[in-house]
This record gives sequence, structure tokens and C-alpha cells, in this order.
Amino acid sequence: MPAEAGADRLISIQSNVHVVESARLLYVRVPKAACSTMLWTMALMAGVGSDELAFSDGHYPTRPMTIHDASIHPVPTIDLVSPDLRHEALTSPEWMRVAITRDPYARLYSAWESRILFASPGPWTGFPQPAIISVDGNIDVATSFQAFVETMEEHLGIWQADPHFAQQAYVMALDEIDFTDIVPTSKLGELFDRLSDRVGKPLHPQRHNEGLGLAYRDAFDEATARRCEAMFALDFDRLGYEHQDLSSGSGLRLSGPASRTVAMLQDRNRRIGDLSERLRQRA
Amino acid sequence: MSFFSRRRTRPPTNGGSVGEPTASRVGFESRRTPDASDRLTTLASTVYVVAEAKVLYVQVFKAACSTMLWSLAQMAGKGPEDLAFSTDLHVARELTIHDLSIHPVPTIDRVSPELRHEALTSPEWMRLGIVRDPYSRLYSGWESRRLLLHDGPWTDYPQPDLVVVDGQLDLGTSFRAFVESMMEHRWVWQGDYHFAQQIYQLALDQIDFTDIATTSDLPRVFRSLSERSGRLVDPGRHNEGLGIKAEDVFDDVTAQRCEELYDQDFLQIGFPKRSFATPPPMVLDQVATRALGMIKERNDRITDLSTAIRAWN
Repeated sequence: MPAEAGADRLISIQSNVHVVESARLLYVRVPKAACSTMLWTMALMAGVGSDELAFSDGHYPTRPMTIHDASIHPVPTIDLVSPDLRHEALTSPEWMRVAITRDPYARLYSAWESRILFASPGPWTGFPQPAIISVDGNIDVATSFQAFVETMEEHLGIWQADPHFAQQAYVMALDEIDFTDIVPTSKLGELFDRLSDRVGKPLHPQRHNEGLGLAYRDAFDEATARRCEAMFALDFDRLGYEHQDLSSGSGLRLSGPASRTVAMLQDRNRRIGDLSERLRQRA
Repeated sequence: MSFFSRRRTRPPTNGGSVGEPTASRVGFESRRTPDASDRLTTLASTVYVVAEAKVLYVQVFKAACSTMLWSLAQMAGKGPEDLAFSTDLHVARELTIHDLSIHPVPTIDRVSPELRHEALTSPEWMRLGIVRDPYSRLYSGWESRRLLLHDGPWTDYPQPDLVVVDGQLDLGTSFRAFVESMMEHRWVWQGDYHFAQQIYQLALDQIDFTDIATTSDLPRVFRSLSERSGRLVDPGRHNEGLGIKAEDVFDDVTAQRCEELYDQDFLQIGFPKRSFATPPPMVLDQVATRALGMIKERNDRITDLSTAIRAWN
């Protein structure tokens, strides 16, 4: 997409918009769309590696995930930069204004897996949701996910107020930012090549927050696919994602050891929530 | 000489069901100890004293000790919601019961000399240890400390890498390689409670036990504790692991190593030796293997947060 001048009309999501002045890059964070990887990429662009990041007391479940803590990220968000820089970042034809988007089916499954199945600490633990379903000690991922999506649709206003479950078109403020690049997660490699050229050094960010490696297609059935399409209608419509035939999902049931390991993950995430909360109270 | 045969020089006087070291029964219950004496000089912080119920419990690591610590809390009328917050390096809420500073039941080094004496000598007290089949216990120690990567001193002990092939962890091969290596460095490994012989943790020569029960006898133990405390003791199971059985990972060579490493547990507690057929491969699937990696990441994060909190104290 050729660079064009943009307009300075951003009024929302400012704390999700990062400004890498040296590279003239504005990145709009879309949760569950390679955002951890992109946050690390920006840190690398700013010359900060994982060893140099300050400690975060937030409820992030892993060290790499603390990159989400805006208070320690080396690249400022747009609400923290000067009015002149903000204006330049939003309007200059020399700036790259980027967002990464993800197939809505895969993104919804990923959000459920990382937030709900793993019991990650966060406000969603208090949202209405069905229990995880196990059969003979084996977690039935597909049935649990499908039950969740049905409940999510019933309580859409609650769930989609959270950016992990919100439509991407809203999270990226599609109507308020003149993007130069909207890149699907499948094209991240090409984006990194271009960003490397832009900063004059190779950028090889690790992948983060990868999950269990399950195929999202197997977690869907036809009814769940239709619900996803209804809840994320704008993403399909405005970002160009195609509806898929997901009626032949083979189902997903974890083995006994895998189920038990996931239960241990849940235990650890709850403990992380406890420790983080206590630490923040003291701070 | 087994603990039981040694004790025949001072036989039980109640005619109770003292266990013989047979394949079907290990341990004993309600054993009379009329000449019990106060001679405990070790283990102070692993001996719990529930004064109201007149129960003394000696903690043996990897032998249902988390479950037993929750049982003691229940005897004291406390549940999870009553416990103070633990800043210790424990990876799950339920494991914070191991934090001595918040457990509602004191250890014997924190009670009065009179109560200590009574607990160690009175015929009205139950002096209880829970023991576990050494094969299962060795596997459990490895799984919880090494495979699940709990942070602790053992991370620096000599040990082989886990064996992963095509993204799948070969659990059986990894465990057997570990036991081989542990044998070479047994003085390092068995210096840790999780891998030490049980008889040393029980202080078998210093405490006159009335009850030594195996982990398979726990339901009976809970009934006894409920009667003594007047409260329902039903703690559920804690710290359960991946559900792998000893038969899934031991072969005869590894079993012989285990019998050598835990010779006194077999000899003095009377666990029967078993033979193991070569097991079929025990390999974790890719999902379970990935999840283990995610557990490691979370353990690291818990270490960071716990360390930061403790730095405030």
C-alpha cells in the first residue's frame, strides 16, 4: 500500500497505540493477533532485549508476557508523546501505520484457550461462562469451547467489552487511524523483513504466547461457526476474512496427562494472580 | 532386620492390628506404646502437633504430605479460606499449606516443653506417619521436582536432560535415565527430603509411633482423625501429578536401582519388592509436552513474583 498522508482524528484506544519515533512506525495493538510478538519486535527496534526489560508486578503469566506492561515497555504509547509527534505519527506520509489482524475463528479460539481454558488471571474470570467439560478426567476442548461461545453470545456486551474478545475493527480504531499497512498474521514474516529494512538491522522476534498447538478448526462445529460470524461480523466484513465451512471439525479431547497438565497450568495461573495482586497492594 | 521384627523385642500390648511386612499389609494402627519416651532430637519442623485432638503427625515428603497438611488444618477447624496469604515460593494455592508460617497447627519446636513431652509419650496420643511404596514415591519425586520443574535446590543437582523426540517427551526413558544418574550421585539427591529414604524422615528410632499407614490406607486414617477431632476430615486429594503409575515407567533394572537407593525403606518399613516387566513406551503427546513447557514458564514467573514480594518484607 503506498504511503499517504493521514488525518489526526484519533480519540480512542490511545494506550494501545505505540509510537517508535526512530523508525517512524505507529503500531496499533490488537490482542490475540500476534501482539506479544509485535511488542517484542518494537522493544528490539528500540534496542531493548529481554534481559533489559524492567520487572513487572502485573498478573502476566510468563516473563515474555510482561512485555504487555505499558509501564515498562521501552516504546511509548501515543498518549505519552508530544502533540507534535502524535500529529506527525498520525498524518505523515513517511510514517508506517500498522496493525496485525487475525482470522476471527482462530482468534476467538485462541482467546478462549489462553484466557478461559488456562484460567489466566484477569477480569474475564468474573464474566458469565460455563465450566470446562471433562469426560473421565479428559478435558473435552471442543465441547467446552462450543458451550463457551454459546454463553458468550448470550452475554455479548460483557465479553466484547474486553479487548481479547472484542471485534478487531473496534480494537484497531479502523475509522480513526489512516493505516498504511494492515497485515494478517499469516504475513508476519514479510512484515519483519520490511521493519528490518526500516531500522537497518535484522529483527528476529521469537514467537510468544503460542498455546497448545491445537487446530482451531477441530474445536468448531457449524453452529459455533455461525455464532462467531455473527459476533465478529465487522471483522469479516471490513477486514476481508472469508466465512469458512467448519462443519466437519473432528472434535478435540485432551489425553489424561495433557488434561492434568492443563489443570496444573490453571493452578499456576491462579497463584500468579494471587501473588501479583498482593505485590500491587504493597506497591 | 525390619522395623517390625526389631519391635518384637517390645511387642504391642493391645493385641491391635499390628501390620507384618507382607505384600498385602504394611504398617500398623492403634499400636500401644506404654514405654514411649521423649527422645526426639531431629525433624522438629516436620513434626506437627494437634493438641486438641491429641495427634502428632510426622511429615514424609512425597507421601501424601500435602493432603495430610490439609487434614491437620481441617482438624484445627480451618479451611482454605481461613489461611493467611503465603508469599513462599509455592506454585499453586493448595501447596501454600506447606508454608509453616501460615499453617494453623504448630510444629513440635513451637509448642511448650510440657505439650511436646505429652505428645511424644502419652498413651492417649496418636503418633502418625504416612508412608508410600518406594517405587511410586521415587517416580513422584522425579515427576514433581524434575519434570514439572518446581524451582528448588535440585535444579542444580547432576541430572540428564529430558528426552524429547519430535516434540513428544519420552517420559519413560527420561525417568529411567534419571534414576541411573541419581544412583551415581545419590549423596547429592538423597540429601533432599523429596528423594531421601522415608525411614530417616520418620525418625523411626526417635518417635514411638502408634500408627504408620500407607497412602492406600488414607481413608481409614481420615476416619480416625475425624473421630479424634470431632470434625469432618475429608481433605480431597492434593498434588496429584500426571496420573502415571510406577508400572508405566519402571523396568527391572530401574526397580533394582530403586531397591538399592531405598533399601532401608524396604527393609525397615517392609514394603514388598516387586518385579516389573519392561513397560511399553510412555510418551507424552505433543499437547502435554507443550503444556509442560508452559508450566515451566509459569514456574519462572511465580519465582519472580514471590521473590519480589519477599524483598518487600
